[in-house]
Amino acid sequence: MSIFQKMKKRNKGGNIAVKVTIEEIPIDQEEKLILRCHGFNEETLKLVQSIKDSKNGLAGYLGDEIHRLSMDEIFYFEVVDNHSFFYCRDQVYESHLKLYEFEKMSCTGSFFRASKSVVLNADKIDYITPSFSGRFEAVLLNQEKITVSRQYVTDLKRKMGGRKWNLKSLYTNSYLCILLFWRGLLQQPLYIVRFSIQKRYLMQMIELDFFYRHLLQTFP
Amino acid sequence: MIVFCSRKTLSDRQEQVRQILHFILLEIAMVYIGWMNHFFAGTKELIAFMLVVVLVYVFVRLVNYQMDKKAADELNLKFKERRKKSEVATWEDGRKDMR
Repeated sequence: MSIFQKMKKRNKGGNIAVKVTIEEIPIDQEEKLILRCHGFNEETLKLVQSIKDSKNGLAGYLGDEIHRLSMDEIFYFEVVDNHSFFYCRDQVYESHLKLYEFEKMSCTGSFFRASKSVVLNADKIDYITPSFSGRFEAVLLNQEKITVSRQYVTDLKRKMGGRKWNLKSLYTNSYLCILLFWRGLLQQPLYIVRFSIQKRYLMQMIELDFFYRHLLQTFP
Repeated sequence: MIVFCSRKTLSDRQEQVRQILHFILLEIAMVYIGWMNHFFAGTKELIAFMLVVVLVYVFVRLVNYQMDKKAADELNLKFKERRKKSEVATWEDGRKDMR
């Protein structure tokens, strides 16, 4: 159980799984937040990011006004003709951030690159539909439609907790196996556990390995 | 692949135009390779070959679309689950505030 889950459990009134200590310090000392946990994972990163966001916020410019925006408010970030914008539910704010800067800032959250000029918040997607052009169209909670390029759909899947191995990597690994096999480096059935391949892919690899072994025996 | 290369995100219209261009180039390449290897004896065979290329292209597009649809359905399910979870969390937070 991660520290994030433990804190959630505590908040919901369950058993105290994580100890929270708040220390009051004099005004002349620097404020500091120390996180003591057993492991550092994605959720811990998220927690740190949300603390950072709540402290800093993002500056959105609307005419002469400067608004402080939190990551949760932003539907997507787009760059149009070298100008960047935050798109919220009803408002559009101009930003001084570059696309790569925002992408770097938001990488631990639910944001993902949707196309060459858009970083989209996966939490704000209502549903997604494929199109015949080979791209996807994401309909947001405010019924706005955003195009998601095919190459970035894998990122979205990863964000949503889908499988991390896409077909491309599977093929690459298959080719790797074939190469290794043909060079005579492998004299035993393949054990590619070190590649941390999921079980079903591993089975496919082993089948592939036996197939090529059979081929070699037939045509030495 | 060069046909689809662009610095900016292509609009739907531009994408469609490039797809047609891609298909025409593919057809020309296939006919050229076939012609060089003496695949067809007459015009009829040439037309049949071109039709086969069209059919294969359409088939590949359809299969691709089906795969995309499956991926989209999987993602939509996950979106739903995620929204449900966040709704429950908001409701519980609200109840806690009421207390």
